[in-house]
Amino acid sequence: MTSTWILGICAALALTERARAGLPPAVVSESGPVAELVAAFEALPASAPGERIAAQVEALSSVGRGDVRAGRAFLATLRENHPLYQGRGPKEVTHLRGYILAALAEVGPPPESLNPILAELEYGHAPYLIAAAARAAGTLGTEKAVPYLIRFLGPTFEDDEVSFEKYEPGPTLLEPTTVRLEVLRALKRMGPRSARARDALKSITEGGESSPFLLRRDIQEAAKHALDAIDEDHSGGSDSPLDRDSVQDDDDSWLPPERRNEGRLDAIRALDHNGREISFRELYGRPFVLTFLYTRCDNPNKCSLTMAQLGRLQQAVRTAGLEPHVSLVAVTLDPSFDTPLRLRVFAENRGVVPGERTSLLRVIDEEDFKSLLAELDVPVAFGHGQVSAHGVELVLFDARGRYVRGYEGVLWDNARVLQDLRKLLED
Amino acid sequence: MMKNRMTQGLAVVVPSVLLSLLTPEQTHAQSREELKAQIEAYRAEVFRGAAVFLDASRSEKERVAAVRGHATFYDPRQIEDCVRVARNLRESGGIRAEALGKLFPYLQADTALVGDILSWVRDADTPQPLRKAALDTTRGFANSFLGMVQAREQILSTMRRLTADADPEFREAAFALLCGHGDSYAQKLLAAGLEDPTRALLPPEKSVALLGLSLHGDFYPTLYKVMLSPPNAATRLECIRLLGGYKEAQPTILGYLQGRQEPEDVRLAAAGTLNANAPEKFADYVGPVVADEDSPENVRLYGIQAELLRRGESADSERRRPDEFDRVVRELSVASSSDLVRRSARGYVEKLQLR
Repeated sequence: MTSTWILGICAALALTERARAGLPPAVVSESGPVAELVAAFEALPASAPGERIAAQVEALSSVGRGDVRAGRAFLATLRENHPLYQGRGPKEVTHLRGYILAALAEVGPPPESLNPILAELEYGHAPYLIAAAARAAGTLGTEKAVPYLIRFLGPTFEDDEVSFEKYEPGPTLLEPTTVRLEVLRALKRMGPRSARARDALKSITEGGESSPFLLRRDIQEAAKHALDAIDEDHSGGSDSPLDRDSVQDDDDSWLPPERRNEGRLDAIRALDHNGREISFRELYGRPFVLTFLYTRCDNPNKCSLTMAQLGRLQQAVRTAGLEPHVSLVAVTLDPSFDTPLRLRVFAENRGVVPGERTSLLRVIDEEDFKSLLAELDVPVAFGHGQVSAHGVELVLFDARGRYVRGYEGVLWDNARVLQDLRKLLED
Repeated sequence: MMKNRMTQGLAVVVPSVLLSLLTPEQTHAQSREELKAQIEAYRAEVFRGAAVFLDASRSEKERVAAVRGHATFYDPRQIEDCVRVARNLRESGGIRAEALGKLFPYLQADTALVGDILSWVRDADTPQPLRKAALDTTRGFANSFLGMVQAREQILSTMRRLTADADPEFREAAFALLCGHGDSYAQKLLAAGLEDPTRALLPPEKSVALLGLSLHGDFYPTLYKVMLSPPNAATRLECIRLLGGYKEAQPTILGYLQGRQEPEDVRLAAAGTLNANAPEKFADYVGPVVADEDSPENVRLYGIQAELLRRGESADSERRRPDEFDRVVRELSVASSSDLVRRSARGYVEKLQLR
C-alpha cells in the first residue's frame, strides 16, 4: 500500500507540474492528492520531454490500486492520436505508450481498457509494448485476453528483455522481464480462467530436451506456475466482470439515421490507385467502408494485415453478391510517399483487387488530409515527417457519406461488417 | 543427458555438414560409392587430426596445426571431448578458442554451451582468443534462425552490455548486431554519440551507417544536423543516403544533387535518396542535371534510368502526356555530347514510345 507521505510528495510534484504548464491548481470535484496528480498528468504539454512525462506517470502510478481515476487518466492517453505523441518519432512513441501501459497495469486498468489492451496484443510488434499489454491484460484478468496472449508463447515470437522500472534503460536492465514472462505471469494470475492456454503451457513444460526454452529455466518455471494456477480449485472465486457481462459489446456504436451528420468529406480530393483525381463525393450513392494504411508501415501486424483483411472483405462482399452496391476504400496515412503505383502494388500483393468499387486513395491537399483525420478521429500520430504510431480501424458510412459506426480495437470482423452493410442497404 | 542431446543433434547435422564440403561438380560427376569413399576418407583424416588436437600432452602449436584445415569434427565422442576442451580452464585461450571454432554446427544441440559462450563474450576477463572466438560464434549463431529462436533475449542482452566494451571490435560487433534488430537502446547510444562526439562509441560514419540498418524518424533530426556539419566526407555521404525521407532535409539534398561544385558521389547519393523518397518530384529535381552536359555522366545516366524504370512500370492510365523531362531526354537522344547519355536517352525514348 502506498504511504500517505509518498502521495503527498507526488501531489506536490503535481502542483509544480501544473505551475510549470502555467495552470492554476486543479479544480476538481473531488480534491486530494490523487485528483491533483491526475490533473497534473492531464496538464502535461504535448511537447513535454519524454523524461518529464515519465516522471508524471511514475507519480500518478504511485497511487496504486483502488482509485479508478488514475487508470482512466492513463487509458485516455493510449489512443495513438493523443497530442502527447504528435511530433515524436516512432521509437519514442512506442516507449512512452509502453511505459504508460505498464503504469496502467500497476494502478489497475478500468474495464473499458479491454479493447485497447487487446489491440496491443493483436497488433503488437515491439516487445516493450506487448510486454506492457500482457501485464495489463493479466491485471484485467479476463479470459477474453487468453487467445491473444497464447500467440506469444510459441518459439518463433521474437522476444526481448525489457524493463519498466526506469524510463531510460541502461545496458543492464533493472528487474528485466520479457513478453513471454509477462504472458505467463498474466496467465497465472488468471488461474482457471486461462484454461485455454493449457496446451501452449504444456508445450513449454513438457518439451524436454527438444524444447526451444531449454536455456530458459525462468520461462519453464513460469509456465509451470501458470499450469498449476489453472488446476487450482477456485470454486469460491469469482469470474472477471468482463467475462460475465458484454461490457465491450459495440452494438451501441451504430448511429441511427437521425443522429448521423451529413457528409463533411465531400470536398476532399484524392488520387485513386490509377492516378485519377476524384472527390470523396464520388463515393456517395452507396454505403462504403473506409480504412487506412501506409506502405512504409514496418509492423507486419498492422497495415499488411489490414490490407489482407480488406481483401477478405472484398471477397466476402463479392460472394454475397453485394459488390455492385457497396464500396471499399483504403486511404494512405503517408500521402507524400505513397504514390498510386505503390498503393496498388501493396494492396494487390495482399489480396485486394483495386477496381471500380475498391479504391486506394491518396488525399492530395495537406489541409484536406488533416481535416479527414480530425473528422474521423483517426488514431495516428506523426513525427519527423513520418507516421510514428497508428491504430487499425474500419469506418462505415451510409450512402449519403454519413458516418455510421467504426470498428476499432481489434481486427474487424468481416461477417459483422457484411451484416452492417446489408442493414444499410435495407434501410 | 548431454550425450543424448548431442547424439540426436549429430544425426541431423553430420551428413549435411559433410555434403556441404563437396562441390556441385563432385556431387554430379561421381558415383554414389565414390562420393561415399571420399567422405569416409575425409572423415578419417579429420578424425586423425582431431585426435592430435584433443591430446593435451602435445604442444599447442602441434595441436592447432593438426586441425587448422578442418571446419569441424564429425566423431560424436571427439565432439564431446572438444566441448570439454572449450570449457577447460586449464587449457590455453588459444586451444579453447580453436575448440570452440569446431563446434559451431552443433550449437543447436547444446543450449548449455550457448549459455557458456555468451558468458565468455560478456566477461572481459575471458582469455582474449577465446573471447574473440566466442564473439564470432555468437555473431554467426545470431544470423541463424534457430540461433535466434533459441537464445534471442540472451544474445541481445549480452550485446547491449558490450556496447561500452573497452575493445572497439566488440563494441562494433555489438552495435551491428543490435542495430540489425532495430534495438532502440543501441540506436540511442549511437545518436547520442553523433550529437556529442565526446560520447561517441564508434566512428561517426559507422554510427550513421548502423543507424540506417533500421532507420526510424526518431533519428532524422540528429542525422540532419550531422549532414549539415559533417565530421568527414564519409559521414556526410551516409547521412545523405538516409535522409531522403526527411522532409526538412529534402531541399538541402536537392541542393547537393544540383550543386555543380559537389563531388560526384555526393550528387549520386542525393539522386538515389530523392528518387526513392520523392518519386513524383524526381523528374523535376533531376531534369536540370540530366540536361547539363557538365554534370557527371553517372548522375545523368542514373536520372534517365530511374525515370525510365518508373514511367515504364506505370499503368497506361497513369501515363501522362510527354512532359519537360521527356522533352529533355528526347533532345539528349540525338544531341548529347556523351555517347552513354545519348544511348541511354535513346533507350528511354524507344521504351516509352515518345514521338
